[in-house]
Amino acid sequence: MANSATTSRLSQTMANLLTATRPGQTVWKRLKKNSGFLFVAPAVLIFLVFGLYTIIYSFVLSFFRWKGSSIFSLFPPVCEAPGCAFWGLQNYKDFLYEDKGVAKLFWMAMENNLVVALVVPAATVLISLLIAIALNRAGRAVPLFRTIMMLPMVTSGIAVYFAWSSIYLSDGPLNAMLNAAGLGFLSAPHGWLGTANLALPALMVVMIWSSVPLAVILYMAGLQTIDQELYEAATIDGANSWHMLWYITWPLLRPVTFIILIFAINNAFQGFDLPLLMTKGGPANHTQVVGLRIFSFGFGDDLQLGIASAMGWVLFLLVFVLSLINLRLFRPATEETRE
Amino acid sequence: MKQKIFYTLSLLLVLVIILSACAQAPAAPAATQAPATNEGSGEAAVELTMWTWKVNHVPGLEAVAREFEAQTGIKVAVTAVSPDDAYRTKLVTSAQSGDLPDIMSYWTGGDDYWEKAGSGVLIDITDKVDDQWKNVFIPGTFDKTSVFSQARYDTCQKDPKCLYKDVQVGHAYSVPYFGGSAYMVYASKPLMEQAGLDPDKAPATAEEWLDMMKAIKEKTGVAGLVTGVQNPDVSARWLFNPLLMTSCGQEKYDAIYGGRDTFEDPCAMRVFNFMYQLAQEDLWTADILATDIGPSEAVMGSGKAGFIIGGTYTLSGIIANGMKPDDVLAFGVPPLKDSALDHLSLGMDAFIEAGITRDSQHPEEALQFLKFLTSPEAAALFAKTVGDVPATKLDADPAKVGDAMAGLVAVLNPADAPFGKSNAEPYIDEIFNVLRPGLQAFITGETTPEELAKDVQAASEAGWPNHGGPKPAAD
Amino acid sequence: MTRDPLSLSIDGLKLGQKFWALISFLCLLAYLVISIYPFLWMISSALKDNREVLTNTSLIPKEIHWEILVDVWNRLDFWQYFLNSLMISVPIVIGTVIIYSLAGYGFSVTKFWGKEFLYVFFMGLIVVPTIVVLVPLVQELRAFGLIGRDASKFATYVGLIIPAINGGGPWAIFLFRSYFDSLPRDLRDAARIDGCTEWGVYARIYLPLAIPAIATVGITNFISSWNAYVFPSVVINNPDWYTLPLQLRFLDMQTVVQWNVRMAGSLITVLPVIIAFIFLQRYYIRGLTAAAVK
Repeated sequence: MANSATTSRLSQTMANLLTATRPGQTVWKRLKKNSGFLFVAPAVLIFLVFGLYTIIYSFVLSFFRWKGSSIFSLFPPVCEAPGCAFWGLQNYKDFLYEDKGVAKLFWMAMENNLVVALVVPAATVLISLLIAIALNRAGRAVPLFRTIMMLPMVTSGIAVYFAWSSIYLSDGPLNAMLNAAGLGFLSAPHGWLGTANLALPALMVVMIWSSVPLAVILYMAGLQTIDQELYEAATIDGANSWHMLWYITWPLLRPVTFIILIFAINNAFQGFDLPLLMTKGGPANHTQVVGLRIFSFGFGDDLQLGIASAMGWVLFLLVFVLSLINLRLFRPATEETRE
Repeated sequence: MKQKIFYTLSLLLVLVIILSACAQAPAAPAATQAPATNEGSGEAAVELTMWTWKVNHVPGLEAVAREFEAQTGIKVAVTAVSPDDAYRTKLVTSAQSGDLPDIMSYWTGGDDYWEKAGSGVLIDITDKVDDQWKNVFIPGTFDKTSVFSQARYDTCQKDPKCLYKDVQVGHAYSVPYFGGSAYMVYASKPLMEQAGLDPDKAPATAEEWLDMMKAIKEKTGVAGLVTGVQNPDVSARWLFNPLLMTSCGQEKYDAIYGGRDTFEDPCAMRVFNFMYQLAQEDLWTADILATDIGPSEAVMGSGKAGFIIGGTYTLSGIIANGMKPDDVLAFGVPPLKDSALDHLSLGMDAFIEAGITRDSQHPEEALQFLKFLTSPEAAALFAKTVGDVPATKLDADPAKVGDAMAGLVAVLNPADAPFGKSNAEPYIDEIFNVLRPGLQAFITGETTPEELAKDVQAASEAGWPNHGGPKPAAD
Repeated sequence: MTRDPLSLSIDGLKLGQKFWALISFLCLLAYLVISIYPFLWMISSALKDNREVLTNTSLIPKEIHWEILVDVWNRLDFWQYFLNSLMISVPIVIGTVIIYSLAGYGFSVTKFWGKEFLYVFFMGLIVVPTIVVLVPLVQELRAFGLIGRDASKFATYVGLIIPAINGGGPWAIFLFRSYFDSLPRDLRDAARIDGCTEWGVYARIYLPLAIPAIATVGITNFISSWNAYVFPSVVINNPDWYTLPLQLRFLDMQTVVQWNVRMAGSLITVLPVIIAFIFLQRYYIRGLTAAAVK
């Protein structure tokens, strides 16, 4: 839907350009017509210089076997044997199916990743929307609350990991609270991060925790843009709070939801620092994620940058497709209505 | 009109940006020349750079460097890039940009190490290490892992994925400066006493050891055993391997890991069963699967476990975490009853190498420093400063190396250590990828000894063809 | 007179609404506790004895060790590395805001050939894996003379700053464009009719209105560049040029990791971020008000 809108606009601008080329119009005028590009030019330039090469490089590298000691470069094209070898599609084949051990781990990680990518974005949206609405109504009376709520954004990474790890310990606050509430049967006697089926959910809670503040900021900004008259009109029509939430707030916040979802999905697939620091992918690979596998091949024990690149590109394809689906679901009609 | 001025200005702006971006390129050579002339003028003041990832080794290396400067006038700047993945990344990027240090530290003897050697990152120093220099190293270190062995050569030639096919047998690219032994257990004497055990008597068998853990847990309520199980390598390498070695004997151990024998052999099954029993009896500390190596030392140090599995490198950790040296009883991982070997002799392995990189401007001076770093005098200084074992022969004189170190050095007996004779390393990833999570799954209760042995054996059988077939026995 | 969903004002509401107001208040309170907990943990660990950090799960130290903080502060040589970090983070934030607010405006308001394609392309960059770009980036920086043992401090920092700006680009474009899209188009059309240039509309009308977006982009990029570890550790070769997080690594040169020292160091490092954050937040709230009035 949104795609077709994009393409139709694209063809329209192309048509504009074609009509612009008819004789009589000067080059100056044509340049002027496209002068909006000047605003974008610095961004494009900086990408051409510092982004393009790295992307092409990592794509080409995914067809080589290389551990980073001999020289591998595109300009000039060098792949210095024996430390570097052209490997064709072997990297992709290896981790997708051929090398049993590596492939098994990859698919296990992918499975965990899909769970994470489903649960974390959904929970982030739900929780942060509710908090934003509550905060928005509470108004400016609680700026302190806002500041505190954003502390997760500034707390240093390593402190976050250790703090949460200590919460999850067998004698940590979480188990203590459950026991005190008479819910001892729910507690994890071997620690939350050390129990096979609890480790991944425990990690997801931390992921949600760290992604909520930014989502709240975005939702609050979004809520400010909603016209209060809409609510007044709805009240006159006899709508209750949930109706207004469902029929006014939620649809009008769709562009914000879209942003948050892209952010969250991307993080869910590319983030790996949490499992790296808190569980190392364990216990028994229950918190393996694809990002962690890539990290292991890119910087870690398995060092083979060709496979790291290849996995990276498979992940790219997946996230790209998911983002397109997200685009279809949440990119709102606002753009079309604007035209 | 106004518009035209705007467009012209914007165009100019973009041009300026482009030009300034381009201008940086020609500006660079000017920048490179400045320090170069400095060097030319002060020929005598050579400054070497050395990198490591071990932040805690920096004081030791700096102490050695100061000594070296006093003797030769050559300065050595030691830099740590940590943690280890940041260090690997730094080495990879520096190799691409030609900015490697004069001397780099690296993990001894793994695939990555030989790939660095074979790719020319490290300079070949085979001719430079004469007999006199070779003699300072403890047997089983330089001679075993710093020199390219026939076994490694054969393995590499058979393996299509091997990236160091040009390295020749007998060549060396670095010298070890840090070593020690894994496969050690430290016990808490006070806890043993509280449990009614003789605090000076090490268990003779693994079964006895297990009973001691049970006794401690029953009598004191403190969990029996801790180590960095969160790191999946730990329980496989520090506990499974030494038990398998004693249970099956060195030749059979090599055969099993080499693909010529099976993990379902009774001698291996007993090891699987023992580790399963440890989990079943709940003898590990409560958060064992979420405990990494560093934190495990904190747990042991604060008296929350009866035993810790580790190596020579563990002692300083538990002492720094509050254990008194007199309260520690150290012994090798005890063998299971009726094992092929009745005890495990602990040898000496090299852990960290130092080599000269291809980007070094002063390879002669760098070599001089390596020689100094591995001399008994400097090694003792290093050992005393960092509380760890060098790969150089030391006399166990507490005055020179510190008390704790002297005790450790005395325990090691490289001459008849079975791991010293074994050719099982390099282990193949296919086996470890199944074995490591499998041993963790004992603790989560997700697998049984029979299942795991079967899986590991299947992985071994599927894996060896990728490496050109099973590895032949050592000579 | 409006009755808004999940209202927190209790006066004149029905019982059910009071109930919901209470519930939402309690939920916010619980969330607040969870938000602040790790931060408090960081402070409490910085005051604990090293062994206690990992073995005592209580937030209250058995014995308060102020000397750790003081010692770390003294050993860290704070101001030198603080300045280094600032010299990197501030240009990144300024560069990001300038370059991508321009781009956001271009994509939102102006028309040019290939605009939509270019926009989609930039958005695609968000999901490009960043993990293996370090090596080619370093090769490029080398070619430009911006890295290496002979590069000057200025060159090294330029080599750190520009790729970081580029890295934050797609998100910034996205946020600025979305924000500009939300402004009424009449604003721009009226200004154009009044003889304002496209540049004038951007600089005098859109940019001042974009303070919330600037605050969001600024805060995000400041935090990430301030905490960056791997890329700076790859690019910077001279220990004197280290950033705060890099220098922090050298605090615990003991046999054993000193967790309390590490936490004290983390606390000192994030302090500037928190101060900057509180400072920027004021603008951010003011910007929100401005956007709401429009």
